[in-house]
Amino acid sequence: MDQFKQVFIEEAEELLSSLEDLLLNLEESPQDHELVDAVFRVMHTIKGSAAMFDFRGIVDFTHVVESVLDNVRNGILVVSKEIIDLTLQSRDHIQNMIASPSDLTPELSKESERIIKEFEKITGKEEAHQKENEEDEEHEESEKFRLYRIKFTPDPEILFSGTNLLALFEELSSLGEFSSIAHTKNLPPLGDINPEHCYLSWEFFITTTESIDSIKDVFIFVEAYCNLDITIISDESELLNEIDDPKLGEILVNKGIISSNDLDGVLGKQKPVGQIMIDQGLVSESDIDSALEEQKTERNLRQKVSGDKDSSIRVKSDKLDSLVDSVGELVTAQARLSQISSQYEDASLKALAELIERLSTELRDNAMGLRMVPIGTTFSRFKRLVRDLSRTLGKEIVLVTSGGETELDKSVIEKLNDPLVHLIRNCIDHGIEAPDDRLVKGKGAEGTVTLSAGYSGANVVIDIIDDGAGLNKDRILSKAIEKGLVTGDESLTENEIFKLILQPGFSTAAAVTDVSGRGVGMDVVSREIESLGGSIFIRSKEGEGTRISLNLPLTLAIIEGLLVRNGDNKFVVPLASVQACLEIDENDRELHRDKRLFEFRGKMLPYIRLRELFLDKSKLPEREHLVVTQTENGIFGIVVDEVMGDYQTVIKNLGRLYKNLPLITGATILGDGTMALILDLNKITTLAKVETTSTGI
Amino acid sequence: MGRKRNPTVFKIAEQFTIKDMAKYHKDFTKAVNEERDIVVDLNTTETIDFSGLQLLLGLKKSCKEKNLDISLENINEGTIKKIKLCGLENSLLKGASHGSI
Repeated sequence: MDQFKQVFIEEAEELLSSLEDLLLNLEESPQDHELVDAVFRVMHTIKGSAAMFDFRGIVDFTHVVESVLDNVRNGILVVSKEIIDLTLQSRDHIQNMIASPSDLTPELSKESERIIKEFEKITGKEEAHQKENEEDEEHEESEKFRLYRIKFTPDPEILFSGTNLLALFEELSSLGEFSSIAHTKNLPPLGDINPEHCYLSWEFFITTTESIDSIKDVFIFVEAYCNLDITIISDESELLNEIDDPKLGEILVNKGIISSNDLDGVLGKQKPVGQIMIDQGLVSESDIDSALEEQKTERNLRQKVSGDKDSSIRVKSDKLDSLVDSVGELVTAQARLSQISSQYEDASLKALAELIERLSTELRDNAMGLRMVPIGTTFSRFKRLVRDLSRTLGKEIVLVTSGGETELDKSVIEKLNDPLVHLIRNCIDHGIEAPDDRLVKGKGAEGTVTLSAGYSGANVVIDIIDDGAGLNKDRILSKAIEKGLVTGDESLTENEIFKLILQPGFSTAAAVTDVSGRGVGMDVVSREIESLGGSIFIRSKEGEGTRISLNLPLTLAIIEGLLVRNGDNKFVVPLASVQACLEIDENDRELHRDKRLFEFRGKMLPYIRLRELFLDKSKLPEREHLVVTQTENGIFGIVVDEVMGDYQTVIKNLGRLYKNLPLITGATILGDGTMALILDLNKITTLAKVETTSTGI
Repeated sequence: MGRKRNPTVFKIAEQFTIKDMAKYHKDFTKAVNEERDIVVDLNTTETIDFSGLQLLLGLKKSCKEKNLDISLENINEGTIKKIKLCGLENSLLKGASHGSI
C-alpha cells in the first residue's frame, strides 16, 4: 500500500507543479476558458486520487476549492486576483498536506479553515455550502479527434493576390497536430522559374477536434485562387475499432492513385512496395511520401485516442542510469568487435560487426533519449519565483520564456535549477530598476526577464536576459582592484571584466538585501556550470540590460566524436562541432608559416596545432589535416596528423587526480583497449585567442 | 578527405523576399550555368517568404541535375520552422547546417 501512496504523492506533486503554471497563465489571460478547465481538472484529479486512499483532510479541502473553480467555469464567478491568490495558496497548502496525507497536524487543519473562510468571503457562504452537498459529476466530455487530409493546389498566380502562403499554413497548423507534404514535380528548371509564381502543391494532415468548417475558414480568402479538397480520413471511433495501421497500398487505392489490380501485381515482389510503385511509374516519390505521412499521422492519432494512459510508464531514475552505463559498456565492446573484424577477411564476421554497430547505435540513441527531458518544466517553476519576488521588492516584472521544448540530459537539468534561481534573483534584485526609476529613464514601468533555451551544435545555450540597469564596467573593475582580484595593469576584454562578478566574495551591490548582494551565489553559479562542462558568457550595456549565456553540453554520457591522431596519441573532437576536414600539404605549410591563418571558404580561419599544444615532438607527417570546428569563440581550425573517422564516444571521467586538467573534458576507451582524450574545444580556442592577442598576430 | 575548390558563396541579405527575388534568381542562374559549386549563407537572413523558399528549392534541384555541390548554411530556427511548414525539410534541410557562425 505504501508504494501506491508514494505514487499518489509523486503524481500529486507533478499536478501541483503544473497547477502553479496554469494559475500564473490564467492570471495573465483571465478569459481563457481552456485554462479554467485545466485548473479545475487538476483539482478534480487530486481530489479523486486522495479519495481513493481516504485522505479526508485533502478531499474535504480540495472539494471546496473545486467548487469555487466550478463556479468560475460556469460563469457564476469571474477570475479575479483574489481567486488566483487564494488558489495559489491552496496549491501550496495541498503540497504541505501531501507530505503526511493521512495524519494532518493541527496547524494544517487550521490553515485549511483559514483558506476556506477566505474563499467563502469571495463566493458567499450559501453558495459554497450548497456546492458541498452536490454530488460529484463527471465534467469532462471528451471531444473527438479527427484526422483530415487537405489537398491544396494554388493557382500559379496566387502570389499576385497578396496571399501570404506561410501565414496561411501557420494558421492551419495552429488548429492541431500538423504535417505537410509538398509536391514539387511542377517546379521548372531554375532558369525557367518566375519567382513571382507558385509551382508547388501540398497535402496537409491535421489531427484536431476542430470541425471541417473551421478548416475551410482558414482558406476563405484564397478560395478563388486554388483547388481545395478536405477529407476526413478517420475519426476517433473508427480508429478505436481498427486493430492494424492502414497499409500503404490501401491508402493509395483509397486515394484513387492506383487500382486494386496494380496493388496485387506488386505485392508478390520483394522490394518495398512504395519503391516498386515508383519504379513502375504508378506513383511519384511525393505520392509515396504523402501516403507514408498519412500512415504515420493516423498511427499517432490512434495512439493518442486509445493509449494516453498506457503511453508512459514511471521508472526510477537510477534504473535509467544503470541502463545508460550498460549501453556505454556495450558501445565500447562493439568498437572492439569492429576493430577485430577489420583485421580478418571474413565477410560474415564483418556483416555481423556492422549489424551490431547499427543496433548498438540505435540502442544508444534510445537509451540517451530516455534521459532527455525538456527544460520547459524547469523554466515554468520560475514564474512563481518572479511573481512573488517582484511583489516583495515592489517591482513590476514579467517573465518571458522561450525554447522550453529544448531537451537536455536529466542529470544536467537537475543541477541547473540552483544556478538559474541565483541568476534570476540577481536579475530581479540588482538588474531591473524600481518602476519610478525606470520611468525616469524613459523605460516602461514593467521590466522583463527573459529565459530562453536553444541548441547550438552539441550544446544547449540558455540565456537569462533582463532589460534593467546593466553592469557598470568601471565599478566592477575598481571593486576587483580593491579586492585584489586584478592589478589594473591587465588588458581585459569586456567579457573578462564582467566575469569578475563570478569571483568568490565579489559584490558591487550598495546594500545587502534578503534576496542577494552578499557575493555568495555567483561564484557558486560559476562552479556549478563548470562542473557540468559548461561555460558562462556575459554581455551587458549600461542602462539597457544584461544577457548571461550558459553554454551547456547536451549530455554527459555518450557523444558522437571525430577520432584524430597526433603522433602516437589519439584524441576525440565532438563531431557536432566539426564543420569540415581539409588536408594541409608542404606547400600550404610554407604559405601559411607563422601566420596561424588558413583560407577557408573565402575567409581567413585561425588555427592551432595540436602537436604544439601538447608539446608533441614526433616526426611531422608529409600531410596534415585541418579540422574546422565551430566553438563559442567562433570558427577555429585544429591541425592534427590524421583524421581517423567518426567514433561513438563513451565519456569517462578522468578521476580526481586529473579532473582539473585544462583543455580536456574526459577520456574514452577505444576498441583496441587504448585511451583517447576528449578535447575541450572552447578552452583550446580561448587559449589560442590569448596567444594570438599576446603575440600580436 | 580531399580539398575542395572554393565554391561561389551567396550571402543572403536580412530580407529574402519576393521583392528582391528577381536579382537572386538572376545571380543563382548565372552560377549554375557556369557550373560552380554553391554555398548559400543565410546567417544574416531574418525574414524569408515562400518565394524565397521556392527559389532555394529550384536552385537545389538544378544543382542536383548538374551534379553540382550546394549547401545551405547557418539557417536560423525561424527559417527552419517555415521550411517545415511548407513540407520542404527533405528537400532543403538534408545536409544543411544550422546555427550561426
